[in-house]
Amino acid sequence: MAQESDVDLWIDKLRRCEVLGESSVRRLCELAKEILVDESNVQKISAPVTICGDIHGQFYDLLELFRVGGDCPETNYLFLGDFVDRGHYSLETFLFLVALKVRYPGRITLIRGNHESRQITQVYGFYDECVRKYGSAQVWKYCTELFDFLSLSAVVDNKVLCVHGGLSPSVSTLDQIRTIDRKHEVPHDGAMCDLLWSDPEEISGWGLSPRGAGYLFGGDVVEKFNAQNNLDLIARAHQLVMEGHKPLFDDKLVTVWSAPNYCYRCGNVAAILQLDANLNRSFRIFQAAPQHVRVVPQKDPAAEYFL
Amino acid sequence: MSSFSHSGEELAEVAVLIDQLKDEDAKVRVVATRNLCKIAKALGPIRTREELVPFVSESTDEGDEVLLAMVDELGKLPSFVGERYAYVLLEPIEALATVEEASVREKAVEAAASVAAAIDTEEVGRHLVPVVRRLATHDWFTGRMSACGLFAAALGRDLGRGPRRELRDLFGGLCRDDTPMVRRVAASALGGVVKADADLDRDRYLELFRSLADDDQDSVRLQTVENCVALASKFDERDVVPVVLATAADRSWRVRWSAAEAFPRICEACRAADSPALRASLCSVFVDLLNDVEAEVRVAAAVAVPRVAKTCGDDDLLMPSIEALATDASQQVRAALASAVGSLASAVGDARDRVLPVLLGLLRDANSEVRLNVISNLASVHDVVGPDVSKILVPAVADLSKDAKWRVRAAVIRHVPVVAARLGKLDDTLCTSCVAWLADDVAAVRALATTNLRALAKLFGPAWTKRVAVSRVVDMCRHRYYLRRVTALKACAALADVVPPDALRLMLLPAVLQATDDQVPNVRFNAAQTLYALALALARPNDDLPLRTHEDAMDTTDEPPAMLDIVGSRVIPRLDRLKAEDPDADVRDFAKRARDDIASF
Amino acid sequence: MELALSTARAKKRCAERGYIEDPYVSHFVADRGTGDPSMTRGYYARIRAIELTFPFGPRLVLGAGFDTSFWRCGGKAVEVDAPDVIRAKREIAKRNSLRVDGLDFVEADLNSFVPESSQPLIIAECVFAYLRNDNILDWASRQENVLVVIFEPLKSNDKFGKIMFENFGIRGWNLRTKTMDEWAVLPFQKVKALSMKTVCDRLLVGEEGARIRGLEPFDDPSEFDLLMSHYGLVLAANGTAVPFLDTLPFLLDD
Repeated sequence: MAQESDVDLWIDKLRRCEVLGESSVRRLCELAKEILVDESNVQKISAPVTICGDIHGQFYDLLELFRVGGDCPETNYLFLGDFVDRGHYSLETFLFLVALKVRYPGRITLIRGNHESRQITQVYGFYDECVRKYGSAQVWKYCTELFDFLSLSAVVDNKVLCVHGGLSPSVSTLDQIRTIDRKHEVPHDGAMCDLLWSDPEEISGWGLSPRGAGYLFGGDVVEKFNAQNNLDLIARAHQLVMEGHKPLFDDKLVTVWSAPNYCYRCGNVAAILQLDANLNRSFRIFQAAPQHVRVVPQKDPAAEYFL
Repeated sequence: MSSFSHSGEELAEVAVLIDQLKDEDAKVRVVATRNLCKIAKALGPIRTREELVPFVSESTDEGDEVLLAMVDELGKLPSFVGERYAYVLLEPIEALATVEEASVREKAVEAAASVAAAIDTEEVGRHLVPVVRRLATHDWFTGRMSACGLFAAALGRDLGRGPRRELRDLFGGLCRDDTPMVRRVAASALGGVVKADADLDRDRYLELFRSLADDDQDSVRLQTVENCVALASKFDERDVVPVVLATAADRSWRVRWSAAEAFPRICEACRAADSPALRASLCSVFVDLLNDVEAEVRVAAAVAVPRVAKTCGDDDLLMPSIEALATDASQQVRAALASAVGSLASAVGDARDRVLPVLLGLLRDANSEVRLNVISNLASVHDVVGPDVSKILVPAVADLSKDAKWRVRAAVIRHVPVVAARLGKLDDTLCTSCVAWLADDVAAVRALATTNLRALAKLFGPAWTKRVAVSRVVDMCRHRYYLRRVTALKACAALADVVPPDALRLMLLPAVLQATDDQVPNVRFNAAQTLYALALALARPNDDLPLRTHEDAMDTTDEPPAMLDIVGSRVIPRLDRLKAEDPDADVRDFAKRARDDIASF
Repeated sequence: MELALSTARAKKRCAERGYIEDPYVSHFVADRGTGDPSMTRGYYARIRAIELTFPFGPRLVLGAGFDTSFWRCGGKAVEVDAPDVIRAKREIAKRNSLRVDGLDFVEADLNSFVPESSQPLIIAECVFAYLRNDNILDWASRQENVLVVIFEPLKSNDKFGKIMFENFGIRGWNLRTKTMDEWAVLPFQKVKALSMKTVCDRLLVGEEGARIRGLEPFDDPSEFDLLMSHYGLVLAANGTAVPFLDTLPFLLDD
């Protein structure tokens, strides 16, 4: 059993973007599992809280997020998933957030994104990164096992539903989400898949998603869902928005995107959504961390282009 | 003298190395070649000259890696071939100076120079000059390029008139070589050659200098400015200045950029300060660079402005262009000027009055990097502006304090203690800003604002702190946003040991105690941490408090009898309650830590 | 050389993941590097689109790098690149007994390279942006029958475009390229300039499109569109190449 001081040491190390030893990762993931296993599929949290969207391994931009939003535990955080893949530091990003979760379980909530999956991480970089950094896939296994324990959604003061992707045609109440057996790989279809994959769209009803998983859902769907569940707002991430945040459907849904200059090439700004004690919303916009506060991995080009 | 007392082991090792020089595997040969000095040392000078050097000379059709190792070692071999025999090394070096691989050639030239330095004066004409001659007239341009680097070494020696004239002719030929690359290397060698040639043939070198400066390749003309600097110190600057003027007006922007970049050194080398006419002509051409069509050139010129202004500035000529740069379309140009404007003010002397509007304009620039560059050079700005500094800077700082980019606000806050220390006081606007920063939207700015407030409190003393900061910080402990309340508590902690005791007891402590009942757990556990900081300050003997002003002395006459008692009666019970009863785990945890820390002092 | 290897790695990735069949690329690079489905799908579209132009005739491939299209698609080709790349390619082809009849190698600095008119099809993938002059394009525009196929990053002043040029600048490449509108007015009898987004939309259809879409999970369509809209495919045609353009499936809708 790790001591609190171990966790503090891990946090310090990870804050400097240093990887942990393989056995430390195993212990950290074990500790996190013990906490996450008790969380509901619709984890209840209280305002005030700051809601953050996709991070995608952009570790130095995550530090920038904390510079803007405040450190944990001073500020309460909810991260909407997609911690890993695409950026250069998926491992450090994910483990840093997990270590904070273990150290301050009441101050930070992590829910699952569609990239917290064995299949997707093998295609979008996290698997390769682990193998590159450790020479084996063992650490990737520890992390992906932990993915299965991450909650699927959270609800702030019973009024704001927070989910990575969006709604599902097979879910009309929060209780239906609560009954999902979540502790396995993200399936290719069904409620759990949809919550992590779907996107809102200016349509009515449901539509096919160009992603090949999840659905497109319209304003009428959101209206009905929010009314039925007595919700004011759905806060979700999952889609790049150049301005960092984008309200839809009369402010009944908002997309929050927290990876500035996504993939080191998109040029977008990022945002976090601060909910105060009365659920008043304010967005904080931030840009990618400037060069001088980053360490770029050697030889690894900052962004990929066609050459 | 080399030692002959090698151990058997060493000799055996060297025997292996010698075998490996002929190994089939190129990798083995590379390693062995890196040990040429070691082999030479073991062989002794005679065998080195008679066996090793001839062997090396025959091995110059090797791969690049072996050649690189070889050329490195050849440069170090002069001390192993015996006194007065260094010239034997010239043969393999000459061969390496003609190979295709540029890095080998460059090192061969270096090695040749170090061998040349080891050759006795009487041997230079016999051994070095023929090498230079052969390379300079080599069929392939590689040899001719290498030759360029050897003239300085040869001409610096005591040669007869004949050889000296021959070398000059050869060098002149390379300066007019058909291959642009050779002319480029010749051009870059010109400065060194002029410096080295003791018996200076002025007209001849000037002619070469002018023809290179007029070359049709810009890579050749790029060498011109360095030659200007080198020649100006040896020749009459009137011969050089026309070339400077032409270079600054070159059709290639890279050449003009090189002129802008080197302009201060050119002015200094030409001793421009001594001659009004010279100053005028240099200054006018520099004005052209300041107004260049290419932004890169204007950036280089803007950076050079202060040094040029000092040595050959004519304020009336320079100022209009500088004023124009301040509103340049390129933000890089304005940013460069912003960094230079502080030192510019001290350089221009009489035109100081005209620099101020430029400085003010840059302080209001639309681009925050520009504004930041001005603020970052605050020290020199202050020295120039003098007593009026606050009138100028304070509004600018106030303006920047609201910049949309948080890193700009952060940079400004970092500079406030510097400004404050120089001003000796802060006016009300800036004081208000310092407190207002505590409520910034960005956490990092709020943290810096806290640090800043503490630095100012230490600078201006407890009474100032009480008057300016305490009540506002206490008010902020009741702000409707929890993150502001957290910042306020951190500020209370930061100020605890720099406020007067009564303010600590009567203002900070009640506010922090009240915060332990906040509805948000984050506020409560920060209050617990802050209570520890207050307890530390309360427990401290009173005479530790720095007395700054009359105002301070007044305040401390009211000697509170039992500060330490307050810790026992008010702080500890509250922490104990939080520790035991708070519903939030983090609050209980932080309260326990604070309580334990208090118990330990 | 760096560019040639990096492109070859990306193409190896495409082959390994089933986008294209390329048993040859492994001879040239050992590792497949990293890269996500937006890159592999993008490379697929680029390779497919360019190979559809091969029927036009013998081709001159500028900055060919370790391109394997000669072995995969046949035809006649002259490949031009820097001496180190060409020498390595020749050596590797020899070592692996790859067929070279019909393939000529030219070692040249493309800044001063002058083509000969025996190849009517000129392929230039990410070439012109790195050159200091437009000599080759000027020369080609004066040919009677010629098709120049150009794949290039597009100049644009939006945020993605600005970051792209900054990032290239960090790698020391000062790209000279054109906006879509500037490409569209090259002095040829007919010029088609399409964004790669359009090319992808038109190529990824039917059975083959479904096959490609099924190869890998594809998470981020909007980011992919953003990326692809900053690259262009330009077809500049004179003489017999003008009617040939009409045979290209991704131009049919125009």
